[in-house]
Amino acid sequence: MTKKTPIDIKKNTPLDMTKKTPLKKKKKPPLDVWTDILDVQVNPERLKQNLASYTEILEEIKKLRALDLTDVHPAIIFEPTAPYRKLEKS
Amino acid sequence: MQNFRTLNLATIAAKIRAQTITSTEVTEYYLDRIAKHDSTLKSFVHLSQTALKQAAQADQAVLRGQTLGPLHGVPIGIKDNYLTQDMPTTAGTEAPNISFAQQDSAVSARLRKAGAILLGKTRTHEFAWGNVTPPTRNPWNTDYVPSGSSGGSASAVAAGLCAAATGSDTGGSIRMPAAVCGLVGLKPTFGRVSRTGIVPHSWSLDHAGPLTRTVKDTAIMLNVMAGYDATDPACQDRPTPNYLKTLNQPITGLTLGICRNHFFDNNQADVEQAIERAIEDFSRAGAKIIEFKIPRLEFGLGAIFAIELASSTAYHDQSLRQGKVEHFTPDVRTLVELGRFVSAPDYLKAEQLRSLLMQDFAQALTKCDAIIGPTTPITAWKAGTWRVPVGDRDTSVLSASWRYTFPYNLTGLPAISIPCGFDRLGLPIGLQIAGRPFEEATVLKVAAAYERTHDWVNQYPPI
Repeated sequence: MTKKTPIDIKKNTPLDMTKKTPLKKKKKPPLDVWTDILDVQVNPERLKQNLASYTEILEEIKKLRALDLTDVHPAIIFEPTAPYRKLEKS
Repeated sequence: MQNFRTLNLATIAAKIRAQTITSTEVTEYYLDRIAKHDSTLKSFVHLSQTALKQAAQADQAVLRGQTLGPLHGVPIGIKDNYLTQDMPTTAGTEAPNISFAQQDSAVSARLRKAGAILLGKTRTHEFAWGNVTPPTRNPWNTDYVPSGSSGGSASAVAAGLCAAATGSDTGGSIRMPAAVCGLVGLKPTFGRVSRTGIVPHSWSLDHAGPLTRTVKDTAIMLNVMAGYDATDPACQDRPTPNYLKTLNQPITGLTLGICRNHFFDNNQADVEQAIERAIEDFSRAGAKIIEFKIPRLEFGLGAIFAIELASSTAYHDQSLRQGKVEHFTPDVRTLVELGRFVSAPDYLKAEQLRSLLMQDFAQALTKCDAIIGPTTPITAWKAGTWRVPVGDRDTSVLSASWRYTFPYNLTGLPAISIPCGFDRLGLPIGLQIAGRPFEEATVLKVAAAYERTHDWVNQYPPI
């Protein structure tokens, strides 16, 4: 049985086996990305449902995102003395 | 058996003290009503096995002439997210392998110290994350929901199954059920009442408060519940006034503010009319009425969603990782899972907006002593219904019901709901009164002034 030379099917010419085909970067499946970001195992069907449920809430959060609040301090105030007041009172 | 249906907490406490009635008689009366009606209402999830024994001890203390607390011998319902040393706590969940300590929350301990009989645990929407409280029903019409998450407490008090009850309020969970069940419900200032021993939902939004039949009953409950507790990091070390002292002062000369945007954008017609009538009544009673707008309220819903979702998901993180949330009810499971989608910048931006809203309300409250408006744009809705007509729009009950209550969770201001009428189906309507931080006395004074000149408090559900 004779060995067939591989054919480049696009050009219909024998394939030059001395050339290295550049390795294509393997695309990460989208679900893995979600698993990394959300840090929990996600069932694809469940994720789809949750994303749909989030749509209405996201619309409200998008309004918030559109605001320029650069100069506003958040309502959260870091208070380093908090653990001490518990000791003082107990 | 005597009929105590028309007696409110204040009267019951006074009569026990005066030896006109006994705690045992009152406790037996409530247990009897629970046995008769709670198979329909489903407001209690657990009854104390020692309530009658506690009542007998309370009666003996009266006979011995002992010093009595303000709630001596009075049966009170405890929302099932408050820990109790003599009753289990479930926080409304039936998910396996989730349990809570059997010890008293700070408020449970304060109530006992004041002499209250902790009659039983009232049903909460699972983890206080919802506004329906299934399967509890509204005593005004048992086809309808009592709202939530303190729906069990509201249903029980409205139906005369206990003299008062506790609730917790993260976005309106005391005031909404109070409004749709025809009760008084107070969310005090953030930091006024300790949350230690209450199962957390969202740390910076959770408040503890009472649900009662009258404003005076709320003042009595707040006198007991309020006070500094170093074990709650948010609790503030401030003097606690006697809230009964200023309750009956006139409101002549007070200025009441109406925020004309947000709170009046889309109300059911009967609600809108009842609130406008209340505003006119306040004006006739000598209060000055001013109007203002807070345009930034438009962004409030996104802010509370970001904070509440992220906080709740952080609290349930272990349950999420261990797969326990699969056993939560579907709506609560979804909300807990959705919190993962809220980014850290979204959360912090919500806290930035919160600063601005706090400033906006502070500015408005320099021009008025209290802000009045509707508690909810809608009255109670039928069980199993998720959308209701409001004007010409079909509105989601989830987004509509807490629209007027959540601004006071974001700002931490004290806010009360009191009854102010009924809709065309005979379902109660709530009027909300909010005030400056730690000025619960003003809020109660305004509420009491309205209550004195109306007869809503003497209306009872058919149960």
